[in-house]
Amino acid sequence: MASAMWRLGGLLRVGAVNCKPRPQQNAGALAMRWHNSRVVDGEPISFHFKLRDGSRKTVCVPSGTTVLEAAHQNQVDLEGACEASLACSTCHVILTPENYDQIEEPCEKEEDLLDLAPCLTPTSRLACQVVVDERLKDKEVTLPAMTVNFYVDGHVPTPH
Amino acid sequence: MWKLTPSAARFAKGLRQYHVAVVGSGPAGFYTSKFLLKKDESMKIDMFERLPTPFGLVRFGVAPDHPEVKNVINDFTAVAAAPNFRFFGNTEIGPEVPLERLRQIYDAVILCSGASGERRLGIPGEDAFGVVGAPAFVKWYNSHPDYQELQFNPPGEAAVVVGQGNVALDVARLLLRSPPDLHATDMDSKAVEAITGWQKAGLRTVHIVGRRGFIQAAFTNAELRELLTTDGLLPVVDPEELALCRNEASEAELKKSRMKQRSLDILQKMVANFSELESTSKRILRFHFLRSPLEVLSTQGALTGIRMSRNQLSGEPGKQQATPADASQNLEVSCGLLVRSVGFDILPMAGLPLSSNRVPHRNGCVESAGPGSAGLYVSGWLKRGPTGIIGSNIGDAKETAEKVWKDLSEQTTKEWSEEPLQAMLSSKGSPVVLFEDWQKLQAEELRRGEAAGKAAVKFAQVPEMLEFLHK
Repeated sequence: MASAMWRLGGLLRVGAVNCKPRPQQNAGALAMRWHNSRVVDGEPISFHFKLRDGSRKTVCVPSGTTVLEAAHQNQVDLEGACEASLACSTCHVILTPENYDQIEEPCEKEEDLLDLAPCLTPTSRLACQVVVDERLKDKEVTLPAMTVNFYVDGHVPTPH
Repeated sequence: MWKLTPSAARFAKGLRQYHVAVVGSGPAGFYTSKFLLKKDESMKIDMFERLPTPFGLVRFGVAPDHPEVKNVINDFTAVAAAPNFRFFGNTEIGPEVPLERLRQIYDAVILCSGASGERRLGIPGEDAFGVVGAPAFVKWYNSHPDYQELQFNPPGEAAVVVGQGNVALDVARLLLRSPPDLHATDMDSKAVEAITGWQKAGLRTVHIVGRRGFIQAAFTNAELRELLTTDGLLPVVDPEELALCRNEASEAELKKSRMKQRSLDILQKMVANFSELESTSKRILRFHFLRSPLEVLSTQGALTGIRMSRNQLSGEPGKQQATPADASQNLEVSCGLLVRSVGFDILPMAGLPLSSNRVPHRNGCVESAGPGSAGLYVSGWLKRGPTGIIGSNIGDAKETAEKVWKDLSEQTTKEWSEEPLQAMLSSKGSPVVLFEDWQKLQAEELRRGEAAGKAAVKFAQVPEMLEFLHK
């Protein structure tokens, strides 16, 4: 749990670790959607998404697929606005503490983007940066309840 | 064997088919359309856009050196490809296509037209030549047709950006980026040429000024950290000023914010640059905290500098306000360009209510459907005020889409006729630009970009776009 704890404590970690946009980027806006264009042919791994309404969806994807790709291939409601180029936090997911500690640490850029994710937890990650492998087998990946703060009428946002 | 289209199948089953108008084609408009189509793919969505080009601030707001942020255009293009979605560009809601008329024709009208106004500083001298609002400045370098007439003098050695959000950081960074870096982006060639010229004529320093401390500033860490790694750029923070930011209430705010703790780490690296201020050959981005502009200084109407107060913070943690403190610590900075980046203002359409810089609504609904008149809804900046990033529109748009869907399913559908819409569109003075037309413009922009060694060469004039499409 050590690496999960530091976030709550607010300790600072310096130095980028393996920080790169994941799939190959397409140059033009008309290029094929990126998550359909990458071929991944690892061992099939099955894991669960815990959806925003509390229900569970089990998916099975080849090892090497990112969690975001797995979501898109299985109609799980997760945006990926910047197409895995590490420029947004719309694919925020929450891992189990065990999974969080097992996998590679997030790089600085990912941490910077996670700052902006609503409902941030100590085990939050960007789904585009988490690659499915046997460690995720039969585990659960949770979608945060909210993706932004709603301002219903009457609420006045805090001035900057 | 013929097959029913989804909408025909729906009709055959006796189900209603809804017609929804979306006004505005930025992230709010596209995300709202996306989530409406997810709810009901047979829903007919017509999107109206004032300009021939879609995507609003993704095209005109996102910094040209952040192309990855614009990838969301691919997602929006996929929405536009949905069989029940139509884009009517170059079609302003106004006298020729009145909002009231849309409300007569459609089952629901969703306004996603954002904020076109900008905040002012409200200080003496603000109208001097050389003072410009960030919304206008950003749209100028991003080829927005409305802002191509802006004129500037070379700023001399220094420019000032007032405000400490990400837009302010974008402007400051782009004023200091190397000409080859700027050229490679899709920044308007005229702006690249201007900024390059300013740098050659001596522009070396951009001061970025905030009335409160870094803990209250709106910038985010990815944008802040980027300054540390931008070639030829030295971001500098004064150690004494950073210490001033950390009063007791601010420390309490800092303790609660993981994000601000990480900002502090970045700013401390910029403090380490302070000793290089005099010796560096790099271009300098100098942060000033706890400073408010008091007066814009000018000679014969042309900007020469800015006088700023030294502020102190007072109030409870989370609610601290800046007030001018010690007048002996006022600061004057010479500059030939002043960009005010203190926010946008909503300029609503006639007849639309407005309070606290937002349109009052309930879950996105401004006005329920009346006899013969569609319900009126809002999404995006009109709904929540002009703040937040592209992703902020997601939950917001989901909420509005949910509300529209719920209201529609409880009301009778109008009988649809294409005729009144077509009559209105064909009688208006300027031709409608469809999504496929935009895609021709887009292909040409990319083609011209490739030829010029730029990411794209954007069309900046509406007549030029129309001429290209109709030749």
